[in-house]
Amino acid sequence: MIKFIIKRLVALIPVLLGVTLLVFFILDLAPGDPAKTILGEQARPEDIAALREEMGLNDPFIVRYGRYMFDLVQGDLGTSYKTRDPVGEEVWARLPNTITLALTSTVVAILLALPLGIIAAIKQNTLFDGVSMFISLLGISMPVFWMGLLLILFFSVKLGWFPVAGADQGIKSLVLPSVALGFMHMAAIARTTRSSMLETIRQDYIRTVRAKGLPEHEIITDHALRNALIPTTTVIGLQIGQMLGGSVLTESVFAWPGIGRYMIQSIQGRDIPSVMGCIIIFAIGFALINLLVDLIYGFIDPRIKAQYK
Amino acid sequence: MRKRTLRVFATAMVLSLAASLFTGCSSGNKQGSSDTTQGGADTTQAAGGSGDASGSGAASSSGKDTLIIVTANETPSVTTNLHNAVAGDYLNRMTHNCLFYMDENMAVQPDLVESYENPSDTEWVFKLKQGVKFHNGEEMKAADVKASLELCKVSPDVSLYGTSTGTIEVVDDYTVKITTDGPQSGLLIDLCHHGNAILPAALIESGHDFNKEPIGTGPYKLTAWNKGESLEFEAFADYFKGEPPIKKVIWKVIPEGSSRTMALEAGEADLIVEVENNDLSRLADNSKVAVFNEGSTSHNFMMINNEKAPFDNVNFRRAIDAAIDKNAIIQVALNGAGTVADSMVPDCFPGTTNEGAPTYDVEKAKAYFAESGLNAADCGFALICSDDTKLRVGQVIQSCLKENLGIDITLESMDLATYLDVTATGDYDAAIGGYTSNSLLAYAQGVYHSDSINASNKTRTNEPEIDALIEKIQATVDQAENEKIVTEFNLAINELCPQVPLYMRNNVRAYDSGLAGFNLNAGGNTYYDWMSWGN
Repeated sequence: MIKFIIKRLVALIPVLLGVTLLVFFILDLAPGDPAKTILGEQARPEDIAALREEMGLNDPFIVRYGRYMFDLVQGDLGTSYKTRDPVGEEVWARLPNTITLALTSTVVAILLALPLGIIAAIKQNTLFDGVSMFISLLGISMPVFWMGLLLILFFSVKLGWFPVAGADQGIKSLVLPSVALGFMHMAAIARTTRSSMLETIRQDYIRTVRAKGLPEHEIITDHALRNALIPTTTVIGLQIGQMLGGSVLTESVFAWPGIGRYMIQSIQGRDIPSVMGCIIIFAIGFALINLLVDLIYGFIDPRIKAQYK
Repeated sequence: MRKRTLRVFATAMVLSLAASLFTGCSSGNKQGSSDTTQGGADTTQAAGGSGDASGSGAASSSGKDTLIIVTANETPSVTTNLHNAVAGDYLNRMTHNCLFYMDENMAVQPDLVESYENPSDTEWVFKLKQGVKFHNGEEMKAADVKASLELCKVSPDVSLYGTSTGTIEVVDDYTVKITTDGPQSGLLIDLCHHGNAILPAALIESGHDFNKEPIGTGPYKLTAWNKGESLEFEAFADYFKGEPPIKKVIWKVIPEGSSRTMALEAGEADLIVEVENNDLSRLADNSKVAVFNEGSTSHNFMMINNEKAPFDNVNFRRAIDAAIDKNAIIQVALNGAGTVADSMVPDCFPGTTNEGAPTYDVEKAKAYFAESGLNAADCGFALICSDDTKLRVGQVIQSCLKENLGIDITLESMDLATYLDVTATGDYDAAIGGYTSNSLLAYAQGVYHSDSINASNKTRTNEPEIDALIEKIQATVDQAENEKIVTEFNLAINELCPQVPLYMRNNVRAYDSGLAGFNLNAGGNTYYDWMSWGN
């Protein structure tokens, strides 16, 4: 198992190299000059030229990329063009918020999706199935910013239960963004759970345990669900990965100080070091989540665990 | 056995997720915080009564000592010489002072200066106020002024405002002499800019990180910057104009407009800086909210590339100017929060005039178009709109030009960085843009002087006569004489019609009606130390 984990971590190095080169190259090709964006509409040509020189933008691509990678291997994510602060500081200040939101949203999504998916499968083609799938359809169809605004209007403005925005009131601040984001991600998990449960409960071994007279709830929870969880776990892993980098709208509506919004602002400002810093963190996060998902497979199904060498 | 393992694992997963929820919440509060000076604030308590949502409008203002201001954008920096961002300017006004400031009527007034004289057109002698303290307890002296103004000159973000200051000399501890390179009528206005804010010379020299600890002479000290979330300030007890009545100010960043409005309605915010146009009428109907909606110096226009056909034809430029219904634009795009602009420069400055500029008149537009000798079928162009408001402006222009002159235009969406790049280099036909300035001279130099081509002169106007008039405005220090030249310049530029002026955007703010002393000048400056709660 340890060997497997080390192998996977080593495999991360070429992935990160490829990601940095690709993103650096794409940002270099993108139209828009970071110096002009920072100085704005009223900039003078001489100020733009001076700032370009100060930021090292006049050097060739390979020199800039080489310099970036040299600093990166020493643990330095560079200095933001826009704020002139170390990117590492900027990212670390926001990363805990992003991880917190991603995890709590996942909890919300799982708590909603698993019961919905299981009920829809075991009560297939009944009213329960229809209602469960309608709720999950609602989650996937409703734009998250709209859902967010409705939640704010009702729970914050009308009832005053939760703050409108920000992350300064602990758990109270976390409830509405987690529900908005979790509700959206619930849909995919519920649908996957339903289809894999449907496939599992038709297997021969389920028929066998049923013939042996086991109670229905034990058949579902101990025998069917366990096998049905493998595709669901994959989807949950992918959803967490998406939430780490893709909760920009939720962060904007609820003014959640996360990394997604920071990255979008950096892309708009052509702040290459900041974008690179975020992408590297996302790539590492995504790879680690995939690794965790693979390890969880082993706990769910010992046959998979036996293959970890 | 296996079943038990699975149950233990499932229980552990649930517990760890629950634990991460709680630890995550507490870290969300603290880890993002970068306390800058002593006494970091407790954000939850800082709501000072306004944090409890009543659901019935803005919170009661009695007994408050905290002001919560909500804004859409976070400043890139609080270091005065390292940004030219509006969001940063708001904050710099709280922590720093300049030698001069612009009052509510946009008149220049002494701030750190006690008195000044102007022995010749190029010599300025400033007597500084004595006993003014920086936040670190040191007294502000002439050496600090010299070091700060020189820092501005060499900082690309703000050096535009350091060009007029020439040579700076320390005469004695409280006297500074500036000898300008030729007469500079814009000197005092430049000295109001945050780029020329006064910082301690010793800290400049030692390479102090002003972004972590911004030391100035201003009414408030920054106590914490929670990145991406909020900035917290406390009143400076030794402020030279007296300690501000509101002891604590928190700037919160809420990017989404509707969320900002709801934060004010729920009592979580006391003042919104950027108000959504669509929410204006709702807020105006709320008795607990006051809405400020008055003119500004923000001149918005359709910039057109005068080097390209058909925009190189003056009658074509006049034709499209006269064919556009600017009132419709203000209603559609701004929900009424603006006024029609006809003059080629903001008409709020002394000496400016609308005379000679085309106004909305379809018959005249048709006549100009006939005079241009152009065919409508050959005059189509692409109009760049870099945000939603500009897109709505573009839609009205598209409709007007089609209906009144038969010209087809296409609307092109573009992100800000690309828009800034293509318009600066002249690789475009037309775009919706704007320019905000605190003086006519700065506007004219930025928008029309040939030195600004490939930068802020996006119409690429290159007229020696116009350049000469701008230089004359710069060199005329006498106010009455200066106004005459401004009028002469304005008439000439109106005649040339290098752009299509559209509207002057209003400054709009919404705030708790219990807030007294609210102030905002046309340039967008607010002085927070003038405000108080109640009465």
